[in-house]
Amino acid sequence: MEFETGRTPAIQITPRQRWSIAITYFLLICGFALGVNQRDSTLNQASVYSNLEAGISASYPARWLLEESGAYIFRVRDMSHRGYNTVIEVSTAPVGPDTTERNILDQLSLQRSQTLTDYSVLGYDSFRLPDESQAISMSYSYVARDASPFLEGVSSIVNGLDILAIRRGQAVIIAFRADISVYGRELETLRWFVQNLEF
Amino acid sequence: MIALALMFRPRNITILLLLLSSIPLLAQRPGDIDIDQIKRATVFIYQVESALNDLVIKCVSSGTLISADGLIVTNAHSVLPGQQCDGDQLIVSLNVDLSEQPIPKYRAEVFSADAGLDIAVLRIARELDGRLISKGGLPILPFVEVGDSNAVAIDDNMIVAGYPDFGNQPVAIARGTVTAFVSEPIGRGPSWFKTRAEIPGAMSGGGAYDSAGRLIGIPTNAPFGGLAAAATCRYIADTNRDGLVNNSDACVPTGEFVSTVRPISHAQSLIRAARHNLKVNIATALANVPAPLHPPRASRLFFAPSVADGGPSTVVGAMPNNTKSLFLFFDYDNMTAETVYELRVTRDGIPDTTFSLPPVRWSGRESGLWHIGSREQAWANGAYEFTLLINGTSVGSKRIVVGGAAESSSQFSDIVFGTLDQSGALVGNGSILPLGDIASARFLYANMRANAPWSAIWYFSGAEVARSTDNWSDANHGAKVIKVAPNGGLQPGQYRLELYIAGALSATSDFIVAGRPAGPLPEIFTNIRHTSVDSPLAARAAPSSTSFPGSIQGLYALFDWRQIAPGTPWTLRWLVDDQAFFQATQPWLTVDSGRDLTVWIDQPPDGSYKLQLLVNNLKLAEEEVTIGIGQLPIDRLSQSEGTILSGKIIDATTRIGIPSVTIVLVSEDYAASEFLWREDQIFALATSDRNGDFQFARPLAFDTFYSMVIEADGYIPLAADEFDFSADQPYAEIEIAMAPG
Repeated sequence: MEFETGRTPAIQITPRQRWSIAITYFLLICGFALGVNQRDSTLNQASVYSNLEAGISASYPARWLLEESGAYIFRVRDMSHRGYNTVIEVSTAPVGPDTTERNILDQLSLQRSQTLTDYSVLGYDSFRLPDESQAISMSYSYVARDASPFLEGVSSIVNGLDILAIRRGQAVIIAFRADISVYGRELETLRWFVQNLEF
Repeated sequence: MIALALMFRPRNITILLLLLSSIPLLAQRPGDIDIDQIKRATVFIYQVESALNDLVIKCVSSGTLISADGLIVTNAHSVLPGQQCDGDQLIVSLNVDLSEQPIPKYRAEVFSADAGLDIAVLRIARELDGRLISKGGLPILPFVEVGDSNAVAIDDNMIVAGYPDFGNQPVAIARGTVTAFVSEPIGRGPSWFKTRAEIPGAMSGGGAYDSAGRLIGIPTNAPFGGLAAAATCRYIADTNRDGLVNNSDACVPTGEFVSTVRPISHAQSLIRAARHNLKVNIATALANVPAPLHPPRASRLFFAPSVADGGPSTVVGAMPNNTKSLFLFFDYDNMTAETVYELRVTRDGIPDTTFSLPPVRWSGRESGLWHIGSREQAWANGAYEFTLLINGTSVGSKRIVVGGAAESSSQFSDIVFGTLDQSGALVGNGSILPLGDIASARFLYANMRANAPWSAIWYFSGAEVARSTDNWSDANHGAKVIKVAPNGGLQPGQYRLELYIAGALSATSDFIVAGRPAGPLPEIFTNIRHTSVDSPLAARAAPSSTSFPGSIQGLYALFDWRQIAPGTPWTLRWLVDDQAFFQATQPWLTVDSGRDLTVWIDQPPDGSYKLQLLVNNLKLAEEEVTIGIGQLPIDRLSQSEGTILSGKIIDATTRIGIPSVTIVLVSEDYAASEFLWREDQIFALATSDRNGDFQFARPLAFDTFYSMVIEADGYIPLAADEFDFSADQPYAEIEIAMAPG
């Protein structure tokens, strides 16, 4: 039995195709550069929040919605994100002489388990604040759904991270929540937020 | 008017191109009823029982959303745990698609209820899976405005909305007119509206609306147990787990067709309490009314042409032509809010639906004198027979003939009670007397014949204490005063006077003796004071005040009382900003004199609070305090009138809906270019669903300019100014095309 051996003939690229490939690569590089620039631009475009009464000032991404009327000092939300809107929320809680950070986080978990679907604590960790002090963090997940009962809203899996520090006899809680699909990317925003937070 | 907006920002040049098209709006002529809004606000309620990880349906009813934050008004008999409806959970189904069946969405709790009036106000409190809904966590729900049922007149058009069966059909609308009013001794205005609209039993608890689309009543029936119930209940689930659905399973009652509507005025205090989250707590000594030991009964049926101070003006055996007012009176005992009573009226042997009352819950006390009838409605001539039924059993009947010329028969009428002053004049309020030695009564007489035998019988707590019989020696017409001086003086309690002419009852009236003399009214309740502490015990020792700061934990009211006999009916009424939010009449349950009875409200909002204590509808004591700014906070979501704006967000290239996009409706004070992403600039938010559909649940005010801003990852941001809808546009739909970029 004989086997024929041979090579696949070399593909001949026309000048027009060569130009197309070059332009495609150029556009990809431009797109990447634009994306990086856009990200930096977004992070650089910051709004400033200041609350003298609470002794808190912060920078947050421009064009995020600032809210102050809930059970928090303030929160900001990325309303342009499709799906669960990434949120960073700053609140305080009273502490007693025997209260530990873990007590407060457990209390938060008990409250959330009453209202959030499939709420689950994923773990605890330490978190270094910009002033080099240590805070405690708690990560968790749950399922969120657009609340309107009259539309066909879909659920989102949300990851959350609470950073808790006790300052001047009260607990300061920075709560960060984002859709699981963008959580890793949005953590950068949280780190930037914490770097610029003063309380 | 919807405008295109091109906005340029200095650094980040963003072209906001609005590719927005307005779809023809659903026009509504001024004056039309917004049926769709009524349907959206109509909910279906399951009362279920938790059993072995299962929920068993016990009762069903319709209900109506009356606030954006999930307050529902409905019948009490189908939601309060009772003999027939013994479930422990309430499931609320919403009208998601107007042409389809309701979909279970939430769980609700009874916030306030009056079992006798058969009214309950529910609050949506949990998701369907049982999770608590945090404050503000509920989306803005469609609701209807509560109207003025006291402005309704006979022959007014009425629309009734509700679910006609066990949730198998979409919400139904029945149309009719108000054919009659029924009066009973409860509150102001009619006790019932009658209608001939065909209202299936399951629509009980739904809504009745006036010609402006405002809620004016609750269609109400009262299915009761026994053999009669079998015809109006359904076996819909295998509740005993034997693999079959048959008459061995629990039966879900619906009742017969509804022809009575409870006017919404009787629900106003319950609604007001729920709106402001006001729950009144009453000291244990006054709160627990013991259940009667004997079966309910009714006796002493008689007719009167009118009602005076809750009693009959006189007693009649016949009525002349052109009668427009007639009442049946009777004594009752051992009644409860679960008692079902019914009045069947026939005229010349033919059922008269106008003046009959189908089975309804008992709305009176445990015992007393009741009346049912109508005023300002024409009674056709004929021989009427009134038959009273309690829990489906006839307990008495009485006949009266209407027609013919007015007779000039001898008559006593208009009894009032009091005490005589030094000049011999009767003083007092007419129905409450202080303790003393002598009670006096003045009554009118007419057409009296000389030497006609007449008698007066006085009763105390149902037992005769004095009787006088004589032949008439006064004039034909006039007023007469008689008196009684029981052995040992007037004891605290309930008294009655009956006047007879020639052995026939001609007039009767009741009065109460309590308290000590103090001007025209007896002094029963004294030393009302308010404190703000954290427990009833602490309230007794705390200093009192008439003004408190906002955000207090509790408002406690204490009062002393003297010489009021156990069993005496009294009323506790609490008002905020001069509107009653709590009123309860019940027998006095503790000793006849004492101190520091306590009632309180937890976490009252700012407002002016007034506590009133009444006996026989006479206000005997009141005290007012202010909390915070002395005025209730304004509910910014209370407006129900306006344009419901909905629409669809699509990809301009593919024309496919874009899910999960947030649409910001900027308030009328700002243009889109002035929007700085602050919460206080936002009128409403909406998020598109998986099909790109969205709806702002909060209605847009008519003739007000709004702006819209949309930013979504992967699309060029949009902005538009000058959204403006007029009063003939209750609904608007828009399609928004977003260009990828």
